[in-house]
Amino acid sequence: MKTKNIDQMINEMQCIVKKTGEIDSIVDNCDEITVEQIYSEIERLSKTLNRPSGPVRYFGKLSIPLNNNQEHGVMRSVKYELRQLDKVCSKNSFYKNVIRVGLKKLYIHMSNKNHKIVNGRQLLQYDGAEFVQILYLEFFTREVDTEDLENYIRGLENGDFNKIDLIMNLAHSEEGRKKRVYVSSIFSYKIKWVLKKTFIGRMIQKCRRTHRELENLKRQIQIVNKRLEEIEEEKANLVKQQEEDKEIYDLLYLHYNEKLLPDSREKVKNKSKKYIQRLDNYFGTKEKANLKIIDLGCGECEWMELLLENGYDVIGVDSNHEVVCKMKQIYPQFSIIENNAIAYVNQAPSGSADVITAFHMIEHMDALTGMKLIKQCYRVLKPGGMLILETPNPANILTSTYYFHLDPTHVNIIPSEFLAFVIEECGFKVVEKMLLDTLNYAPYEYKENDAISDIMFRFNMEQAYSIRAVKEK
Amino acid sequence: MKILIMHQTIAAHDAIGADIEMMYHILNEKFDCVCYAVNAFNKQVEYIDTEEELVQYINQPTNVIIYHHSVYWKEGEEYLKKAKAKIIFRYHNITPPEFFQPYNEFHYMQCKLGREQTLRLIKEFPQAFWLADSVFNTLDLESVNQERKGVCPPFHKIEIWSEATPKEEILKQLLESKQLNLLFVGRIAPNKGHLFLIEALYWYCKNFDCDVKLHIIGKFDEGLSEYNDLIKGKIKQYGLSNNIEFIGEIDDSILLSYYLGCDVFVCASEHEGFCVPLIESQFFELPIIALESTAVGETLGLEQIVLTKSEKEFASAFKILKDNLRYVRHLREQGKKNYEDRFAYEKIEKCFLQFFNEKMGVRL
Repeated sequence: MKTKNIDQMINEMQCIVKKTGEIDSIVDNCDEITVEQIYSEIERLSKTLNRPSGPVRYFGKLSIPLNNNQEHGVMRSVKYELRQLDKVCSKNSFYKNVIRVGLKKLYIHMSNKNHKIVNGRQLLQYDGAEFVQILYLEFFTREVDTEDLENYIRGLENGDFNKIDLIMNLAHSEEGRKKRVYVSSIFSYKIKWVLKKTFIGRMIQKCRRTHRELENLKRQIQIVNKRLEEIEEEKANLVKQQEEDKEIYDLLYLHYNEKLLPDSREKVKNKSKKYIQRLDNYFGTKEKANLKIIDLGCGECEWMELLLENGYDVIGVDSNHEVVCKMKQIYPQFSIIENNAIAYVNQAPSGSADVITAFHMIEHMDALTGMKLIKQCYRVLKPGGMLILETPNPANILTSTYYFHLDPTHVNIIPSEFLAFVIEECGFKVVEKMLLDTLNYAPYEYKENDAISDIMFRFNMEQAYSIRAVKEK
Repeated sequence: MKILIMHQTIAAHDAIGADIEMMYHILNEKFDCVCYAVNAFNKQVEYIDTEEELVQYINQPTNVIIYHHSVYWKEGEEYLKKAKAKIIFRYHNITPPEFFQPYNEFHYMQCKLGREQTLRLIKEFPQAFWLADSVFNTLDLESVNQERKGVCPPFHKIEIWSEATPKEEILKQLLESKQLNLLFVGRIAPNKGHLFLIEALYWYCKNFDCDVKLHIIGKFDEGLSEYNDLIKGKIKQYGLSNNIEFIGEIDDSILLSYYLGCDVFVCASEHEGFCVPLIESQFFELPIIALESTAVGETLGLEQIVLTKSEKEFASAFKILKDNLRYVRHLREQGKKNYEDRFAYEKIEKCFLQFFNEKMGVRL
């Protein structure tokens, strides 16, 4: 054995005497240590240990206290009061022989060491997902399922239940009962939880839930209203934008004809005379003035003027505000309606018109709108009524590649075969197709077996075509 | 007379390798001593290179074979059957196969075959001598004639490698830390009681405090992945990641740092033929808390803490040693005394020579 330092021993003895004032403690200190002594201490200490549960560390932080049996001060006082009460009540034989027996069994059951006692107050320190995960680890020594975790978190956030509800429900669940989980240190919360289970408690919960739902509903209504306001605002902005765009296009057409189109007013009227003949021939004996003719996209009203000159009556429809105002000023006697063609025919009564014309109007619409227009024209026309459409001819190369694009409001150049097909599909019978207005761009002597002939023809051929169709009786 | 030392693997840093190495040096002083191993990792001894040479050695009746038996070695047994030399079995014990059965079929079979081989060797070589590491190991040699068996602790190199320089940063960290530093040295295997140590640590942390860290020096065996996963799973389940450190394979300096810097050596091994780390701890005056099993108590000697398999007793023991320096001092003193009286190099050498002289009639 090692020899002890005498000086150190003397110092130690002096300290002990000063501290305790007892000589006996020095004597104890000088006794030889034996391994039996150590064994006895180990045995004594081991008897005081509690069976642990739950991990030492949650998420890197130390877990709730080591001794789960530490009781809250209030609980100790309550137990003391209960013991006093028991003493007094035990003087009553009924209490002593009947009630006390039952209470004692219950107490023994609750304080059974086989219970897994978990300190509820410490559990309440945690929140959210951490709270649920620790709860499961403490109660069931396993991790919570992902789906259950999400449900619990949602329930806690929505206020469907609180942490006490979850603690008590899990402790009293089948698994909790199997594992004999007992939650300590939340006596007052337990009382509240039990009261919640009574009728009044449930009613209060129901009222609270209803109130929460109402609040939610109010919030949602506010959100919807706000969104509606935003939509109204967006709509107003859109309309404003469209009006601004229209204004620009309308201004464009004020001087378009005179500056960009090669034909004079008279020339345009002359070109349209062939349609007067066709009307005369078709309607024959009928009183011209009684025929209801609608000219969609009347523009500068050349066709309207021609019709009126030939004894027909006509209503012109055009959406260009500037041009309509200009025409009304020049020709105050003309019936001109400022409206969009498709909007006008949509609201026109069925079978109310004898003739509908649309000269160089349909190419200003996309294909679908054009088809809708033709369909509506069929509805509006009387049986035996006539539809005349004139539009640029895409078969002419220069027309389709160049002249068509001189007008930025042109949308869709339509091959004649397709237009005729649509007209017939809408119920009409096509009675005539005419190619109009030869371009003659580069005069050419066409010969047989000449490869260039066809190409040159495409440059020189008619720039427009018209289709005349009737709604059969 | 020539002496041949045989073992399947002669390593540089394990207990059997050290035993062979020191034995070789003692025997080489007076005799021509060589070694034979399939896996010759220890460079401090001389080896036979060829099988022809081996056969020459073993066929000479005047020669002595010291066959170290710690593992199933089929070829080794076959060589012995052909041998005409005298045979001494140096018995290091073989782990009972039940420990490995749940985890690794190969290890299980190796242990099972190894233990069966022990019985065969006893039966087939009645003239051989048996030198066991411990009295406990002689329990497996019951059918060996008393005159033909003896006990001699395994040679070790503690007094050599303890001269190394410890790793300063590790030693400083351990000495300066306020927590209780526990140490266990041993490979990660099912018989070494790691799961129990984790349980004991868990009891300690939950009942007392978390100012404790268990340092485990030892290699993981990839063939025992299920056992390894069990260990890791338990640590995770108990939230003890900050309280347990696995150090793996290390050199002498690092090992020395841990022996010098830690507070208590803990051992919960359920099967040991001797347990060299226990005497290493006693040499470095580290108090020990060990599980009572197999040869552990015998190695530890008197006045040491040897407990039953109770987590609460272990946890309590940790706490008591943490708080009572007087107890620590006593255990350290007694442990060192045990080492000096029984396991110092001279003592083992004397025991070894005595066996040769008295049992075998060979003067070394």
